[in-house]
Amino acid sequence: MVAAEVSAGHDGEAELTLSVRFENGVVAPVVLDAEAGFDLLAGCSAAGAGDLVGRPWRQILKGLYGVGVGGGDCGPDLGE
Amino acid sequence: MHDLVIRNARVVDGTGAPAYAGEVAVKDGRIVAVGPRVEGPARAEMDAGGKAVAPGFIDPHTHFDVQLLWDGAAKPSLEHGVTSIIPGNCSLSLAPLRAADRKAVVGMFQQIEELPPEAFTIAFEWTWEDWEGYRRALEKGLAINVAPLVGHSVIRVWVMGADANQRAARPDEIAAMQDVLRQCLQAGAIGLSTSFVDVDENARPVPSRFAQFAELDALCAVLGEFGRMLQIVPEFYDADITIARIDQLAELSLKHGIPTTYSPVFDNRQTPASVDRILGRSAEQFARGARVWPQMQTRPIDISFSLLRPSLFFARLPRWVRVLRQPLEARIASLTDPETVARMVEDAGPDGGERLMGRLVVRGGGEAPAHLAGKTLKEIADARGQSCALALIEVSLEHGLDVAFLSANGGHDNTDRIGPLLARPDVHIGAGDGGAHLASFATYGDTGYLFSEFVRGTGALTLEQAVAKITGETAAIWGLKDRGLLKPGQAADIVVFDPDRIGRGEERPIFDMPGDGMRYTRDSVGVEAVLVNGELAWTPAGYTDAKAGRICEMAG
Repeated sequence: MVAAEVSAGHDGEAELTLSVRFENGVVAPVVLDAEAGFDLLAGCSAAGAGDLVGRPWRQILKGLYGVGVGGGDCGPDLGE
Repeated sequence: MHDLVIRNARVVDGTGAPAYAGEVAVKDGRIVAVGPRVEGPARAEMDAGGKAVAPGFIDPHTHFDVQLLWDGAAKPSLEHGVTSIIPGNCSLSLAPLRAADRKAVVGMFQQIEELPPEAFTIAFEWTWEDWEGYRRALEKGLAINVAPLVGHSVIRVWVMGADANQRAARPDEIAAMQDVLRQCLQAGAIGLSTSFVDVDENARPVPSRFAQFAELDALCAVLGEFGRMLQIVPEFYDADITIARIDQLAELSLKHGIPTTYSPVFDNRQTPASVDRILGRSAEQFARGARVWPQMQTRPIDISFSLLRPSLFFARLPRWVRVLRQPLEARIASLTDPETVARMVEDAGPDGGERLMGRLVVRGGGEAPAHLAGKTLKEIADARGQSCALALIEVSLEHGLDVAFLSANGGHDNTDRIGPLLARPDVHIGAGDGGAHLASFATYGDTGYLFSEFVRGTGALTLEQAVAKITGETAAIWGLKDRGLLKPGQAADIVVFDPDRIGRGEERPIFDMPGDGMRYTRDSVGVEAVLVNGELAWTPAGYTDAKAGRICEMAG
C-alpha cells in the first residue's frame, strides 16, 4: 500500500481509498467502506490510515477476513 | 382558442438550438404552437418577463416510489422544475409484490430511502399486488409525471419467494420472471432496474445480486421485445469491475437492441484516473453501436457523520480511531475522560483541529441543537473558547452523540474538471437519487446546480446545452413519448426560470415524512413557474391543486 486517504462515498459516508502498487509498477485504488476500513485497521493493528502505508497488499485481505493469506505479520513486506 | 399563451419568453426548446424571444401556446395539455409570435386568442396569458421558458426537466434516477403514494408532486422535485421522474431504480420497485412479501421489500426500501417505518404503515393503503394494481394506486393524485421502472429484486421475490436472496434461479423460474417482466412492461413499466451493490436492512445482498448472467440475459431478451431500458448499479467503488460491467452491458445492448444505463459515476481526488477510464470504455462501446449511458450527478458529495457511529473521517487520527471504535458505552466513557480527550485534541494537530475540523458544519435534524445548526465548528469553538476538536467532542456529548457534522465538497467537487465531463455527448446527467438517503443528505436541486455551477459558473455548458441535457436528450435516451421538447404535439411540461438566478437553496431539515419523520431538503432558487401537462403546478407562492401528472407513455 503506497497511500491511504479518506474519500467521500456515493452515500455521503467517509471511505478509505488505498493505493496499491503491484509488482509491475501499476498503482491501483482499492476503496473500503467504514466497516471494511475499520476492520482493516484493527486487523493490521494499525493506529490510523497513515500506518497502512508500506504494508503489503495482502494485509488488506487479512485485515478484512482475519485469515493469513501469505503476508505474514503486518510489517513491511520486503519480498514484494 | 388556446388555453394558455406564455408571452415575452426566452424560448429554450430542449433541442440545444439557440434560444430566442418568442411565445408558447398550450391547449388540452399539449403544446400547439411555439415561435417568435403565436397567433390566436387565449383563455389565459402568462408574461414570462423575458425569462427562460423550457421543457420541464426530467430526473432519470429517483426513489420516490413510496413518497408518490401520499405526495403526488414528489416534493420538492417539482418546484425545482422537474416535471417527470423515473422511480424504481437499483432493483427496487413496489410492484409486483405479494402481501406476504411486503415486509422483506420494505426492509430494502428503508435501507436505501431511509424512510421512517410509519411511511409504510400509516401513509397509504396497500391495495395492489401486480403492476396493474400498483399503477392504479399511483395514478391517483399525481401532480408530476412518472415513468416507473420495475425492480429485478422484486421480480425475483415474486417468483422465488424467500429463496430470492439465497440462490441462483432455475430455468423454470427464469422463464417465470420473463413472463412477469413482460406483464409489467405491458402495464406501464418503462424498463428494468438491477443492482450489483445494494444491501437490505440486515446488510444482506438484495435478491438481484444472486442472479447469474443467464437470468439477466433472459430478462434483457424481454426488454428487447419492447426496446426498453436496463438500469444497473455497478460496483462503482472499483473502476476495473465497473469497466467489466460496461462491457457486459454493451453485449446485452447489442444482442437485444436495448439501451442501458449505469450509475453512479463520480470523480474523486483520491482516484483521479477512474472516471476517465470508465467514460472512455463507455465511449468505446458506443463506437461499437452499443448504448451504455453513464449517469453522472452534478452536485458534489458531502461527507456526513456523528460520533454515534465510527466514521472513517477520523481515519487519519489514531487516538480518535481507537476511541470511536469502542462500543457506545465505553466510547462515551472515553469521551468523558479528561486524559483521553486531551490526547485526542493533541492528535488533531497543533491548531487543535482547526485545519481538519474547523469547516465542519453542524447539521440540523435529529437531536441536533437548533441554535447550532448551520454553524461551522470554528464558529462554535470560538464562541465556547475551545479548540475545534474539543468543541466537537463536547457538543456531541451534550446531545447524546447524536449531532451530525457535514464536511462539504468531499468529492466530485472539482467543477473545472466535472463541467467538461457533464458536457460530453455520451454522458447522461442524472444519478440524483431524489427520494433516497433522506436522513443523510438532500438529493434535490441538482438541476439548479447544473445551471449555477456549470452554465453561469465555469461555462462548461451553454444554457441551451444544459437544458437539452436534462430534457430532450433524457427523453430520447429513455424513449419517453412526447416529452422533453417545446414543439407542437409535445406534452405541455414547461418550466419558467431565471437563467441568472436558478440554483439550489441551502440544505435544511424538515419534518414532513409520515410520523413526523425528518429528511433534508433544498428549496428551489430562480424557478418562477412549473406547468405539468398544461396545468400550473407550482409558482413561488406554492403548490397549486393541479393533479395533472401522468404515467409516461413510451415511444415506439
